[in-house]
Amino acid sequence: MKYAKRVLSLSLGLALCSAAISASAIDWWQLGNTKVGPQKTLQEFHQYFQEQFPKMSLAQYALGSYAFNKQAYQQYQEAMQFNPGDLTLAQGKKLWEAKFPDGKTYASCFSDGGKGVAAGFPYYDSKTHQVVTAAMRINACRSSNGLKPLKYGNSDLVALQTYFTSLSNGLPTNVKVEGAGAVAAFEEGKAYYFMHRGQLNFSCASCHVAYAGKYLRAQIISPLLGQSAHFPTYRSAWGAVNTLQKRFMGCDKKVGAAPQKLQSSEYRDLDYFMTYVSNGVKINVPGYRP
Amino acid sequence: MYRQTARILLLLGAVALPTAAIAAPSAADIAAGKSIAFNRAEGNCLACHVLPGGTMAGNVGPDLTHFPFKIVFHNRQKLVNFIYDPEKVIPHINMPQFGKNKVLTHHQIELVAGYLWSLQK
Repeated sequence: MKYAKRVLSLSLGLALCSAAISASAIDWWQLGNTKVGPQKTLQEFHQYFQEQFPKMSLAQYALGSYAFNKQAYQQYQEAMQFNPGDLTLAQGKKLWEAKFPDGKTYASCFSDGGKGVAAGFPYYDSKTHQVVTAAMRINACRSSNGLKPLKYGNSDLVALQTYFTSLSNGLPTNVKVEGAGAVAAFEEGKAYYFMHRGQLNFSCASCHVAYAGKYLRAQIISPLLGQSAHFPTYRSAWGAVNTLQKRFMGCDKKVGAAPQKLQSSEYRDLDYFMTYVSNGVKINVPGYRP
Repeated sequence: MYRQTARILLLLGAVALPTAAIAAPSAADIAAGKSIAFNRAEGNCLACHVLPGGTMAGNVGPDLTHFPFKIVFHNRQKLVNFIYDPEKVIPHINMPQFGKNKVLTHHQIELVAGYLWSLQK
């Protein structure tokens, strides 16, 4: 009983302290509940992670979970010398440079041949009222040049997405959310990130915001910030390069929820929200993850 | 951990779950409960909690090695009720509703609770 009282009084003291701190600090739960608009959301997320990890620079978020463990980071650096994902990158380059029946190439569909373009992807298209992704633009390019669109998730399409995104390597993510439609899509994506789902009843944020840097068994939980910047990425769990949306499917399944389809509006909005929040983190594709 | 313990204490007091005495588990039941707690496809408690003898445990939830279960939950039935639906006791808690969402059967939860209860000296 004495112990109980001590625990109680000690914890009451701690609770009071933390209440005082939280007057200025950001509580992760609040991040998802307030409709404060994209700019404020980005600012609050960056501030939240800054408070969680004061020593970490924005650039380090490109490393994901590797930023939290020196030994793992060393392994990562070694793995990046011969990233198996580079094979997919080479495949993508070959496809990108192959001529269409009309003699043009994919480069003809993008400004500056695609250089630096992916840093602004995905984007909101106010004409079609939807979020547009690299996969959609690559397929649109095929269609306008007399080729059939590729099925989402097709390995050639993944390779093309990888190469197209790599043309922005080293550039900071720079996604825009402007106009009512764009903001609505952003908020949908944000809601998806915070919505509890599946048999385990977790949201994306339950782990990647609340417990970033902590361990689930032997795995370090990566923070939301920067998650988009290394996709398409090589994952040893996949033994292949694949996309951020493919990863969403895996996460949904892991918590016991039915995954959405690749390039569904749900996943595109989610992609849009996550990538916008990662603005400023440099793109490094294909990444390498466990 | 103390803060979390106190939160559980306070909330348990407020909720006042029904208490029914259950028989003390046998050594075999405790072993079965441990197996469920460690198994990735069952309780998978080690994903988030440190437990004695568990390797590569997570640190998302409180370390349960020296967790004062008796002080926090008073009796095993309350621990069973908590694992069944933690959200009911602590709103917004990041812990699966093992019973409510049918991750484990009621019997499995009783076995896990019996095992956890046995960890205290």
